[in-house]
Amino acid sequence: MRRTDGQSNTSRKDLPKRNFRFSSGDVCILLVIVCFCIFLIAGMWVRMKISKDSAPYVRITKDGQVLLERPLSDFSEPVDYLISGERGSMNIYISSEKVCVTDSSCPDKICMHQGDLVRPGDGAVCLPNRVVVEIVSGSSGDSEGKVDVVSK
Amino acid sequence: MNKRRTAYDLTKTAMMLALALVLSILEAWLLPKGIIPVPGFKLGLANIALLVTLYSVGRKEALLVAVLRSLLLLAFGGNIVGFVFSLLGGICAWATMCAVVDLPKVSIFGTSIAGAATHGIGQIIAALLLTRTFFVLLYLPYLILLGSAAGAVIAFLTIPVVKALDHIGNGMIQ
Repeated sequence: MRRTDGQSNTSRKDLPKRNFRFSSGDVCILLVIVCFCIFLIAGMWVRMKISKDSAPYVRITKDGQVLLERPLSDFSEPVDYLISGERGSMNIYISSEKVCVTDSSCPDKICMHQGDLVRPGDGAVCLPNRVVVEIVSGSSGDSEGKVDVVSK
Repeated sequence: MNKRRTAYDLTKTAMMLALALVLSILEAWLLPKGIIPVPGFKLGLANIALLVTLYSVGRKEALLVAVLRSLLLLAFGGNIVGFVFSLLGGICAWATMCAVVDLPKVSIFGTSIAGAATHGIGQIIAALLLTRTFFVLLYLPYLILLGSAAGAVIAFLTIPVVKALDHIGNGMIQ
């Protein structure tokens, strides 16, 4: 079954076949991958459409535990939310228009480079601190938060 | 002759491990910060080394390269987050490539693309474990699509390397 080409007799018998030409099986693999991605993107898009009109929430999660979950409209006066822990500290600015990570002790600062989070679906992840800051829309956000807490 | 072959295989594996390590480090420099917004995500350029090992040494050695690369990355100033990412990504890519490589009518391109796509899935699993939020799933389609494109390029780059290794081996072992 598995065999190597005559030119390559250095190979052992259990080596994969040397097929270097793009063939029909590859097209199938590509199709599967593309369909999977389209399916995922469509799913997200539908979820965004459904939850568009409900009020945006800000949710801050650390180690899978929800630290803060409140509608953005509560923050008519901007607030600096501080997270401190053994891993490091973060400062998150929250106002009714936007949320952004203004300071973080992590080395790469990718969470800060994410900039302003404005719409549902926006988010910043800080892996060194295990913190996720995201904006979710009210209805779907609620249930997800509960599931998260329960599954912990 | 058998001893020679063992030594030759060992050398190839070691070479590919070194290549994987360098590529992983290079990849972190080459990718502009904004493209992949979650720290630690990689396209998997180091899959070149994994693919070459799989095709010209064997499956077990390819797994060895994947695992040792993550461990050595950790030793060379990586952090534990990067370690979990590269380990899960590498093992997922290896498992998929081993499963796909013997399917009929699948060439090195299909193998590489499938490996690169699952490399992304492995990293998302790592991110899910670390953050325990579903938010990171948002990046999955982008990571898979970018990874698949990288996978096609990687397959293209791997072909001459495998052929050259065969050529060298033929001269050496006979």
